[in-house]
Amino acid sequence: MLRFVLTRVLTVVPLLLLLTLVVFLLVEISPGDPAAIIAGPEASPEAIAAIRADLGLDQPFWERYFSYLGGAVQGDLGTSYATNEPVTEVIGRALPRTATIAVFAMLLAVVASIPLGALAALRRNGIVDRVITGGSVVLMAVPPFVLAAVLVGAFALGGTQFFPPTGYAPLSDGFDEWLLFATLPAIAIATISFAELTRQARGSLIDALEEDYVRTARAKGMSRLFVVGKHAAKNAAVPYVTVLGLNVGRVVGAAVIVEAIFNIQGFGQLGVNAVLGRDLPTMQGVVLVSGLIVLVVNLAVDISYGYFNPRVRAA
Amino acid sequence: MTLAQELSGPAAGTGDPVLEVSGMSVDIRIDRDWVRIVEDVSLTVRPGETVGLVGESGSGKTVTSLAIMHLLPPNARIHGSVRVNGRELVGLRGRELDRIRGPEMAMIFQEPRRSLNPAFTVGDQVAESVRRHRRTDRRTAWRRAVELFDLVGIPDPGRRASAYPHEFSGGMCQRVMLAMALACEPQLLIADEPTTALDVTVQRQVLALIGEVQERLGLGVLLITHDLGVVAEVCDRAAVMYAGRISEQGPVTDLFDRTAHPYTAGLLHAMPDPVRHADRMGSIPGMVPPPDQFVDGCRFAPRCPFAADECAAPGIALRDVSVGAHEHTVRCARSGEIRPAEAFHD
Repeated sequence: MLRFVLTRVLTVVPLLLLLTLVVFLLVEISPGDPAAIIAGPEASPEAIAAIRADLGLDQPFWERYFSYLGGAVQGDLGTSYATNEPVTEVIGRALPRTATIAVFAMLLAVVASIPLGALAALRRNGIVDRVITGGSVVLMAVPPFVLAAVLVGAFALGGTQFFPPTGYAPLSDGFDEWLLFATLPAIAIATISFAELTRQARGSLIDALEEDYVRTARAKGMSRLFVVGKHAAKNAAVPYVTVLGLNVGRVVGAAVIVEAIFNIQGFGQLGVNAVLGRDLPTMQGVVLVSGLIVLVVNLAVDISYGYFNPRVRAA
Repeated sequence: MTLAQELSGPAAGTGDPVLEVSGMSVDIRIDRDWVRIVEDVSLTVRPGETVGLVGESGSGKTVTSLAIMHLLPPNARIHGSVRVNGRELVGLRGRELDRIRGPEMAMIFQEPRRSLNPAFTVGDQVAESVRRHRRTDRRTAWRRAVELFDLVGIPDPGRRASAYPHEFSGGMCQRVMLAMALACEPQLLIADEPTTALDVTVQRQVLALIGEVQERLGLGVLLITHDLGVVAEVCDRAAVMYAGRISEQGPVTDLFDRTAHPYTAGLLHAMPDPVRHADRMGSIPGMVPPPDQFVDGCRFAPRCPFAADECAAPGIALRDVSVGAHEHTVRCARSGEIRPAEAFHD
């Protein structure tokens, strides 16, 4: 298993290099001259050239790439054009907001989907199953921004004001305070993933329960609950975790929109503003960190395959 | 107490039956109708005895074995009586059955590799059964699993117990299955085509192994097979099933030498004969009908060379055709008038 984990980790290294190259190229091929943008519409060609030299944009491509790479390794992603702060700091401020809400959303989706999916699988084609699968189809069709508006209307405005309608409190203000602000955005973000994961949990558990080894376990007197919880669950985990990994991307995507609705200055908002303001270093940083998250999630999913399915380890 | 001391059973075929099936029928629900797929099966297995249950695909032999274990899907129901060690199983609740499966009766299946969970080590899959029924700690259960692997002839059992099913050959997987079945020392072992999916040479090893542990433990074995060669080799008695009913039952020597049912004769005729050439191997024309086309009269009649008008009459009873002390019964309307041994001769 250790060797398996090490090889998986090593395969990520070239992907990381490729990611940085793509991020760097992104700016290279995007239209417009950053120096001209910074200098403003009234600037003289000399002023623009000075800014260009100052930013190092007059250097050859590979030189600039390696200097960017060298900086990135040390945590230096350049300076934001918009605020003149280091990009690392800007991201460091915005990312925890989104990350805590997204992790909370993922947890909600997982914790709710597994028991509901299992219940539906065990009551297959019964009324409970029909309600759960039918309900998840409906939820999958509701866009996060609609759900966010409905949630705010129902629980933050009018007669029932359980939660604040907008804003954010960091975890350093206390867990209760954070939870108050994070709950509605997390639910809005989690719902589609929850619905999809519930269906996946149901489907993969039904498949696993039809396997011969389930009959074997019953033949040696293992209880139904034990067979579901041990024998079927570990095998059903592989497709479930695959979908879970795919949903991390969806959650980050939903976060961008939901943050705007709840007026949370998070990672998604940072990215949107960077694009709108042509803040290229921040844009690079946001794409790089997003790519990094995707790589790490995929790595985690890959490694989990090795745990859930021993046959993968050998290959 | 060592395994060897534990393992000494009574003489074969004596003592109270470990399995007594009487008048058992199985229905499955298809849409809204209940279709009877196994009808009026009666069988007895005594300690140390091997009883064969023989038939073509679709004859109901696997359903019968799963019904005995109460492992049928929820859309099936059982009538009649299934007694294991004298206790009636029909009507027991799931929890009560869970306490009987394992310590009193166990089962091994046709495809040993698919029957093992790929996600857990083989040692774990044997040890969990010991832990469940014996309430031992993890380490004791694991030691017992290693002992069992040694018993069923898995080389280097201490190390191999930590391996996963995909690291074993089919024959070795069936040995693991057997170790698992024997983990809580059941008195009854049901083996559903245990060698069908294995290579010919491995088949013999597995059959020999079952015979060996049976002798040491005094197990009663119900062996489900389509292979009359296997029956001749290892069974004391056998029941021949056709289209959900037992058509003939008796000592193996009687089935072979005093065949009373034309279907049994057909099966014997279809056996590969090393002396005869393969291209002259016999067959029974036609196929087993599906359960929704089962008739009340003799279900074999459409394929039977002796079929006559009386074969269509419903309720053909089992007739006793015993010669000597051992019961030999047949369900054939023309029993006594015909000579089934001549049935399929060209």
